[in-house]
Amino acid sequence: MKKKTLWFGILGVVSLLIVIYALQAGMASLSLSDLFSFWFGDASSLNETSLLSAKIFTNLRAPRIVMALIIGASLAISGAVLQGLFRNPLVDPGLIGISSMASMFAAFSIVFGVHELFSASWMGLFAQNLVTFIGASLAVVLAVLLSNRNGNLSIMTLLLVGIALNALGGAVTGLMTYLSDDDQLRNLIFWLMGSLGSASWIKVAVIGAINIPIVLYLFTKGKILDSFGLGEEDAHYIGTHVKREKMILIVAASLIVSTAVSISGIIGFVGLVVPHIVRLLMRKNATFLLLNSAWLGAVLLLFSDTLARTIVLPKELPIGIITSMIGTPIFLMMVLRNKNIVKS
Amino acid sequence: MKNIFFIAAMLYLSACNNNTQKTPEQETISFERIISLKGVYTEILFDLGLASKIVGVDVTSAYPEEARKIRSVGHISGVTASGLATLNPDLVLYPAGELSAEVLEQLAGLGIKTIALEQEYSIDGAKSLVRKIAEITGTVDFAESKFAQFDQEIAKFEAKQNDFKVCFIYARGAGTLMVGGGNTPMGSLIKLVGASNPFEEYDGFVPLNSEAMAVANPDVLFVFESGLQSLGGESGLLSIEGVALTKAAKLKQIVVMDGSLVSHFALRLPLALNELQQKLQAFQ
Repeated sequence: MKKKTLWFGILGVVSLLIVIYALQAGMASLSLSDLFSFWFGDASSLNETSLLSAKIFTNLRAPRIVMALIIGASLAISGAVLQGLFRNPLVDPGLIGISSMASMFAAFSIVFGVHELFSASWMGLFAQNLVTFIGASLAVVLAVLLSNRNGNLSIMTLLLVGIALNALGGAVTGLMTYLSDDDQLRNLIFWLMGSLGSASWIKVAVIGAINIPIVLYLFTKGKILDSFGLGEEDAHYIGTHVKREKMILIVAASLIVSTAVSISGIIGFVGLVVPHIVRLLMRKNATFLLLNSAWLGAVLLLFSDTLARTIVLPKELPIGIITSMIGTPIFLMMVLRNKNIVKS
Repeated sequence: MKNIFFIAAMLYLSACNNNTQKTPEQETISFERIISLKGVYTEILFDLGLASKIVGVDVTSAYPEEARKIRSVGHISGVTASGLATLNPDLVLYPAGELSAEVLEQLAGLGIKTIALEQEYSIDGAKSLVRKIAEITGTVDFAESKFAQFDQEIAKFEAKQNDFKVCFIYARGAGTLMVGGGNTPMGSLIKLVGASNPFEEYDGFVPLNSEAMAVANPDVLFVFESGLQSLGGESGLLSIEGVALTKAAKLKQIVVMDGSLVSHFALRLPLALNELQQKLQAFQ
């Protein structure tokens, strides 16, 4: 109990520090009084620089921070759910082909200009996101349909279908790279590298409306996941509706990753490693794992994104580089520490 | 089947090679089958009246229109020695540093001459690249006659110092914008017409933070015709995070130009300078 309190204390303080750091770090310096007069008072009293800083904070930085928290939580909880369900610690949301099918659709639409069909209307702003989301969802639908045996999802088949979808996605993306001209290639490469730079309040609203309810819903599925930990047969005997729950969990976990991928591109590592870090810190039930994975994932991605957008100003680093560079040492340290505990 | 062609090509080429190596001073005029691995080289070869000698081009060779009809070897990053050899070239022109040592060695082994070219994005740089290619292909006299007209047009052009901060936007991924920094053809063009590039101090293309774009607050956005489409058209470009807060977005000041005209920096440079200047003056 004491250990648990300490853990929450540390995680809480660290999270708070990271949020404060993220709020104030960036190109424009932030003054609280300017912000308040911009939001609630007389914006015309501000000079040009203060006004611009307040706008930058309100329109660019704040939505990006919220977006990082939502996407980080989504990726991590999705990894925790899928790892529990598949009873395989190496599973991450990419494994059933979501990311590679998303990339494939993004690449396809860049090279063949599919998204330009919408460019005349307001849809043009989100066309690329929409096309990518369709690709990601298609991966989920295909994976579920193909591994469906009389209403029961075969985990083995699901993984194999995932391998096939990954191979297909990789091949088509490669082909698109080959067919692309110079401009398209640049667009494509930058699309494939994850970034939260496109965050806006509208996108936050869209992804929030879909992902937040699903994440909250997944929090209630701890007991079910615990039962899956015993194996599907035993889960059935202790009263879990195995077929239905499996379907619900896979679709829910995949959906939140699909929305994330369609907005931020591919951000690896968070979904795979965050649940492990939580498990290594403290072995508890699945509810604890889900809650803390979401929390830690949110904070880790916010911290990574803040570094990505500030350490090489005015440039940006791809966020995947940062998540891996922060996550890998922590993860390795914990694996080693855990090994010592097991030995002694 | 391919292998047979390849071996035949190798044999043929090694035979050719023996002939040309004997007389190095004649080497400059002996190229009959040229592969150009950069759009600007292709344009210059056309300018020098050598269109019929080009047997292969890379994907960036989109000007003049007829260049698109020549066999494409794809992206320079993906070309292989065997892919080039099947076109049976006797000369490959490539931007320095962009072909791997392995490919170069293989081409040398096949007796195919490779020449690395470098380009400086300035008025003199444009001329010296044309001169270099003319020397290689033995068309110096013809090039000189072209320079006379080029110099005349350059002399007519007058850079008008102005306060415009012009930002060139190249591409956009899931979130990050790529903008033209210093040492890019777009950056140099902006400077040559007397405007300023807020990202001049960063070399090459810069993956830009959206806050930095808002803080730099450019007056004019500069894009390629082809780029504007992928950026979501004019409305898409102006509503990109960060861009939307700039003066350029508020005043809807966008300059759209043809990609090859801007980036090639060869004999059409005066045309590019005049067009950019005219478009900027329209905002004054």
